[in-house]
Amino acid sequence: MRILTQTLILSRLGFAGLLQRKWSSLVLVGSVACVIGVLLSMLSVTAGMLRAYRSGGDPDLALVSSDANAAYSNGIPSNAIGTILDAPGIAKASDGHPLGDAEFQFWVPPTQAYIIGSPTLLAIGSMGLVLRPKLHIVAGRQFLPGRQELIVGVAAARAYQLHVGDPITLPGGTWPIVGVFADDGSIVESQFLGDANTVATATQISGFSSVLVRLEKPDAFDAFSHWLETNPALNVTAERQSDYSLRTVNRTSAFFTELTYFVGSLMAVGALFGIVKLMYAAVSVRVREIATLRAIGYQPFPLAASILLETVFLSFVGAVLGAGAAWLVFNGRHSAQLHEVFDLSVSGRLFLLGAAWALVLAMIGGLPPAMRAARLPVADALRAL
Amino acid sequence: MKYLPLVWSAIWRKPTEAVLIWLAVTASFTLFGFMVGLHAAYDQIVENARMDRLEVDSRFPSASPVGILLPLAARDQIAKVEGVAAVSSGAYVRGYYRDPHSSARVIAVDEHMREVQPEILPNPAQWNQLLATPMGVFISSGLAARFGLKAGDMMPIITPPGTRADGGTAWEFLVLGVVPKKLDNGRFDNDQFILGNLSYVENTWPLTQRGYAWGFRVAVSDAANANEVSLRIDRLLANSSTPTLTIPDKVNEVNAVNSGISVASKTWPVAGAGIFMILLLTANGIAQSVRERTPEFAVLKTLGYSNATLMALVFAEVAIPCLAGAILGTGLAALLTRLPTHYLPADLRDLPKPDLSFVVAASAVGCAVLLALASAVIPMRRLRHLSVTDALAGR
Repeated sequence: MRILTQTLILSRLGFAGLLQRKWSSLVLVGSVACVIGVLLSMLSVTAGMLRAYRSGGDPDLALVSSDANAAYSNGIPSNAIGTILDAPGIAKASDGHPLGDAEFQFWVPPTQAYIIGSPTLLAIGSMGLVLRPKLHIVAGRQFLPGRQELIVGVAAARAYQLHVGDPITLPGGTWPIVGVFADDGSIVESQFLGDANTVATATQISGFSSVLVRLEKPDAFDAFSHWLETNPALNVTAERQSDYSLRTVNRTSAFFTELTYFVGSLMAVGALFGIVKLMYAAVSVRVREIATLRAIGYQPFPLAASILLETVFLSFVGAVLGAGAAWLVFNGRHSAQLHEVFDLSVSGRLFLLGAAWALVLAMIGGLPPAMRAARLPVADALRAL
Repeated sequence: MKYLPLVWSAIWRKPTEAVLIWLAVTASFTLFGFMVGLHAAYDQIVENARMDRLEVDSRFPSASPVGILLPLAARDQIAKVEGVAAVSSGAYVRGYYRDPHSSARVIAVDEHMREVQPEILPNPAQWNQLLATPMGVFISSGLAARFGLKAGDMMPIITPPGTRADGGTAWEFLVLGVVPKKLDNGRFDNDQFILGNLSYVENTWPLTQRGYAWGFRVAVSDAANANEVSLRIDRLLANSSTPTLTIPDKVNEVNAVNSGISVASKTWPVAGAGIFMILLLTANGIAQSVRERTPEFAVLKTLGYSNATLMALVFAEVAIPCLAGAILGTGLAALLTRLPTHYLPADLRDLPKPDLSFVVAASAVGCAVLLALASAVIPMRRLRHLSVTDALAGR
């Protein structure tokens, strides 16, 4: 109890002195802000991509694919779809049809040469829209099954400058864009949508890359997955849609996340040396005060703790500033990749990550100065005055 | 030079803090070197890519299980397009050598490749040798070293079933020679270059796959017309059964660098943020040092030191650790890039290797000087306006 009271009193003394040491305190805040700002700005790319992939994906959704590389393989033959939809645990529509949709993707090359990136075409079946209840048309109209026409997501329309009426060149000729749709910020917004049968006929693609299903309840997944994977007639694996999203995002962004942590660590090392230096300086300015406090009975531990607390406080202020700056500049900013368009996201999770980094930096950086203060030989320090 | 002891003792006034600042500067310049080097590597990739070479691929992914196929007959059509100097057809044999994890890919080309891209093989005799030996291949030095192959060795490549007319899965190749890697685009781990004969591959494929290429390589007579020639080729084949997508190599590389998560666009901002962070620290350090030593400077001024000399002393005091940090940091960054790639996380191996050239080192030194100047500017002003009598009186 006494230790706690002493820590509180000493911390108040330390904080009161912050104004006198305002420049070095500001430098500490600024250094941590730089580290956290850069870290979170870079991570906002991956976080945004993940948010887009997960958006609209509820725990009831699962994805069946033929191998690890689901998107382009078209490895599920058409005649296996019926068997897959017989699996237990799939929710039924009011008319008794299973809520499952066989789909595949098709890369649509840019109509004009030399434009970087173009949307992929997601070919969906009759249940595709039922499984995506948030998807709605914002301009033009829905595509009609059997007609050679497409609709485009708002994100793709914006990033690749596509409009209702634009012709899109596909193997079967040119297909007009008849509508623009939104889907609650999901990654589907960066794609074209078209009717699976019509697209398959035109592109001569046989087979599907995935089957999206809605389960009766999230718990039904294990039985569903087991049934599919042990069925000798099938060669498929099932995944929850959230796992699929995570894996897909990691495949394209893992290198960038690793680079980000590498960059963040290097900056953190720089900041760490800075924090140690600044806090050493702060302790050495207060030698007289610290020696006096020790002489009148304050214990070394509360003293060290108060200095650590001060470091943590300054570091947190820096983290909040850095994260705030990253949020202001990058959160919600549109990012157009080769085939994916999404908004960068400085999420709550990233704020927590920034706070954790700041805490670790402060604890490591504040420890040597705190120990020095605690071990200060009182008599020598007072005599030196 | 005679002031060096003065500066030196000023730096080491508080040894712990001096070392810590220097270490912080070093860490930041390691980041700076790495990032600027990475940017230079991306620039180099684009620089090296040629505008007068075109890649012709199928416009649409095909349903064929072996890949994207274009009829060989299209080669003759492309060769007649205005502005095209030479066209070569190419196909791949993809499989592995000995161990399923050591994948190998033979790029099989026809005789026109020596007109399109003669520099792949260092001398014309090698082209003659390759074209005269159906099973022959030339292999890049890096890959040869990894596979332990030399000229005269046989190199069986195991492929998936269905790639040979005889129903087998093993392709026999004869290593004719090892050549320095020439298809180099500066990226990590890109020594996978085995050059073979298309005729041999064509004659071994199942009958249904013969008569097709995976793509064409085109040499353009004038690089300035490359875009126009690309469009001409695509227009020519637009209404055929296999429309094409033709892109000059340089455009392809520019797209590759700027697409996906573009690292190239983030290198300078990150390097800048690191330097700004360190600027705060060095500026604070020197300001504090000058503030604490005001009486000392007053004495020097009394002794007749000019303002300019005092300012130079302050500048040197901050410039020395900055320069030392910049040099050591850039050195560390260079060391980092020389780490064998297997120490890197697998996903980072696809990044281009940061190019820590003389230019990068020079920009680090220049940046260190600027950093020192920016740090010292406020204390320098303070010294200019220093009142000797007040300072000596301790006011």
